This record gives sequence, structure tokens and C-alpha cells, in this order.
Amino acid sequence: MRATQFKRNQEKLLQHITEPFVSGNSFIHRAHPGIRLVCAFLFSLCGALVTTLPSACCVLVTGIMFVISARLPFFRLFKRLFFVNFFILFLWIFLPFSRPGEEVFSIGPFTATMEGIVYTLIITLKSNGVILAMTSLLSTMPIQTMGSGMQSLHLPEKLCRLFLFTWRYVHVMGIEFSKMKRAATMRNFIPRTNLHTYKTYAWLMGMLLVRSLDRAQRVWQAMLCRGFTGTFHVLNSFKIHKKDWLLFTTSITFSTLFIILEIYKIEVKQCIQPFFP
Amino acid sequence: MHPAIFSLEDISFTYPGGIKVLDEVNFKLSEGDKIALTGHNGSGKTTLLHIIMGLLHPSSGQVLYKGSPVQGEKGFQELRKGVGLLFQQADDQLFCPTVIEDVAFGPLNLGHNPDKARKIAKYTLCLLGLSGYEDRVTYRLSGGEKKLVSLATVLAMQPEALVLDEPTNDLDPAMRGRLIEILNSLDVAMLVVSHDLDFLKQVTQSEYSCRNHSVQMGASVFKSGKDLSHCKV
Repeated sequence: MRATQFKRNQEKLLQHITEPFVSGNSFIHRAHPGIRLVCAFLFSLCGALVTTLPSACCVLVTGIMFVISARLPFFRLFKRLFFVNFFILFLWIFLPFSRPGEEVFSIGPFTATMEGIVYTLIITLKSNGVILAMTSLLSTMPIQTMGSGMQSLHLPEKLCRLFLFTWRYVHVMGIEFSKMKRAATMRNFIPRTNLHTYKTYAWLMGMLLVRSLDRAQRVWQAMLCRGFTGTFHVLNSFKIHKKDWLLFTTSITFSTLFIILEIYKIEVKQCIQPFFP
Repeated sequence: MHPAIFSLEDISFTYPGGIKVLDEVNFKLSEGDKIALTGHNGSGKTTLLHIIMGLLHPSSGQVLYKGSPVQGEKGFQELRKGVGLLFQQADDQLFCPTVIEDVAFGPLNLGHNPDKARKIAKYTLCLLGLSGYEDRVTYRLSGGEKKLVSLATVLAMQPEALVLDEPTNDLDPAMRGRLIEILNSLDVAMLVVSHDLDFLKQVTQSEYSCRNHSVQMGASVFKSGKDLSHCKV
């Protein structure tokens, strides 16, 4: 009984750090993790730096294309986008009024300008585009695969290991923290805004730190006992297939497109001028 | 008389702060031995195991592996190839992302190539009835599964001796039964630390106990002589 309750709590805790897009069988899901990391890096870098409306639209469209090819579950994706756009909503409250330019409407002393609105729109479009692309490329692989992908790119070994160890033990530490917190709750601890609460939380955090240190020591000992002498040997090796190159080329092409659109500063006015002489 | 796999000679250990836990302890584990080690909490059982593995260094005395004294970290690296330690907490032992990577960690360290290491790992998992667990993520396993996988990680190194630190902690009866079955099917020498007398009765043949800073043969500290009357001393 207590075991199931514990298990349930554990699962509840882990829900915050689950990987909702990992299950799937699209070609992106099967692609080489290293290639996906490179694509995601290039795409997000180029996507985040665009400053014109047409290129921002391009980023969003490409993001949607990635989502379609990864065949992501739409409901969960919208949930994720909702959180992102919640923050962007605040930008819409302030940014349209913050730029000088052609007046659109005004509320009291505040004047919204065309430039301000376009600027906010660009941010909205490109951030959604980048989130979609990142979700399709990165959230579709388990964290441990991402770690192996980092290793296959020959990123610094220490960085990869640190990443993998963090992922492995963040759960254990989470469970340990909730155990201690439960122990406090069992003795009628109710968090309030007072010194006692702050002190208790400080103790909990301190205890967690000490325990983590102890655990790190024991993990190190366990590694020594299994013949660890300082070098990590990698078990998994990934092969690059033709489809991976397709993904790579597509990402490069789109990233280049953003750069071209940026360099030639193609603006909305320029795009629609030929139609309205 | 079988040759000793490892032995301790006049080992003393004092923790920083002057707390003496072991005083001139002599002990040996020979091929085919199945020895239980009992003792109060804090009587130095885990300390003794850590000294055997070279994780702690004794204040005096020496550890012998196959008859010759173990010298420095290099010597203990050699000893650890032949002696496997199963830690009390499985979470400490399983640090790789997936089960197969964890079980293959030891063989890789022994110098096997990835293909061979994977084969050994799969074989070991199969032996313990854990086929199909290869790609499971270690932190999502249940407590009992974690324990068995930890045992697999130790066995994959094909040790001559196993040192088990309270292996039945937190195991349900079914999992405990499975562990007993597995341990009895293994052809390796064993040193088992546990408070679970019934478990010790089923997997070991003789008993030592840690008390008064030393390790003595027989005579359980639990004073439940009738349970252990069958134990050969």
C-alpha cells in the first residue's frame, strides 16, 4: 500500500521532467541524434537572429514543416506552445507602444505604432517557429540518446558525461527531496511566511546537498569497483544514413534562406509593392 | 583446502576523529566459500568490505589478493577484476542511462570491444532472467529490478568472488526468493553482509560476526542460536 503510494508520488514528481514527444516513428525520430543536434543548433541560431517579417514568416513555416514531418501529437504540442505564447502575450502589451513610427491607435498617453506591431509580430512568429523546430528535432529523442548524440559529435567528454549524470541523478535527488518534505509534512509542517519555514527549507536544501555529495562519493566508488580507470568507453555507435543527410541539407537550405532574406533586407513593403504600384 | 582469493592480515581501521572500528582483523575468503558476515549497526561491516575493495585504506595491516599483498591503486584495480562488490543501494550502482550500457560498463573497462561487451551484457541479463530489459532506463526500474540489474553489472565482470552488502534490503518476498535462487545457482565464492538471518541461512554455509572491533567466527550477535545451529563453523 505504502509502496504504491510512494510509486505514485514518484511518478507525479517525474511528470514534470517526462519526455512527451519521444514515442513516435517518423523519419525524424529515427534520424541520427548528432545530425539532429547540429540541425537544431543551426536552425535556432539563424531563426532567432532574423529581423524582417518575411524571414520570420519563413521560420514559422519551416517550423510547421518540421512538426508535420515528425508527426507530433497536436494536443501536447499546443499545450507546449500555449506556455510559450503566454510569455509572448506580455510582449504584446508593451512592445507595440515602445517604438517610434507611424501611429495606429493610442490609449491615453501611449501610442501604438505600425513599427512596434510589426516588431512584436516578428518576435512572435520566429519564436514559435524555433520552438516548433526544436520540439520536432530535439524533444523527439530521449535525453540519454541526446547524450550519445553529443558524444558522437565529439563534444567535450566531460560536458557529455556531466549532462548524462545530471539527467540520471536529478530524479534521485527529486525523490530524496520529496521524501524529506513528506517527513516534514508528517510532523505537521505547514509552510508559512515566517522564519521557521525559511529555516526548515534551508535545512532541507542543505541536507539535500550533503546527501548528494555522499551519493556522488558512493557512485564514484561503485565505478571504481567495476574497473573504472578514468576513461569512459562508449557502447553505442550510430550510423549516418542517407535520410540523415536529407534532413541536414534541408536544415542548411532553410538556414541559408533566412540569411539571404536578412542580407538583402527584403521588407513587406518591397514584397507587396509590385502588386500595388 | 582451497587457495584464498583474498585475505586480510591484521587490519586496523580508525575513522578520522579517533573512532576505532576494526582492530587487527584477520579474515580470508577461499574458492567455494559462502560466508555470512553479521554484526550490529556500526560494527564495521561495510568498512571491512570497503577495505577489501580498496575504497578505504586501513591504518595498519594489509590486504592480500591470491596470496600476494595488494600494492596501491594499481593493485586494487587488479583485485576489483576478480572481486565484485554489490552496493547496499542500487541507485549508487546504476549510473548509466540504460540497463545495457550499465551492464556493459564493466566489460568495457576490462578491455573488451563494444560488440563483445554487449554480448557479455546480454548473456548476463539472460542468466538473471532479465532478457528484454536491455533498453530500459535505469531510473525507471522498480527497487527489486534495480537490485537484480546491479547484480548483473557485477556478474558481467565474471568475478571469482562476490561481496554483497545487505542485498535483501527493501526487497519484497518474491524478489527476495528470486535473489536466493540466483545466488545459489552461482559458482563463485561469496561474502554476504546481512541482518536477514533466514536469507543468510539459505545462501551461506558459515558465519562470522563483527564485534568488539574484530571479526570472529560463529556465535551470532543476535543470540538466536537455534536458527544458526546448522551453520558449519
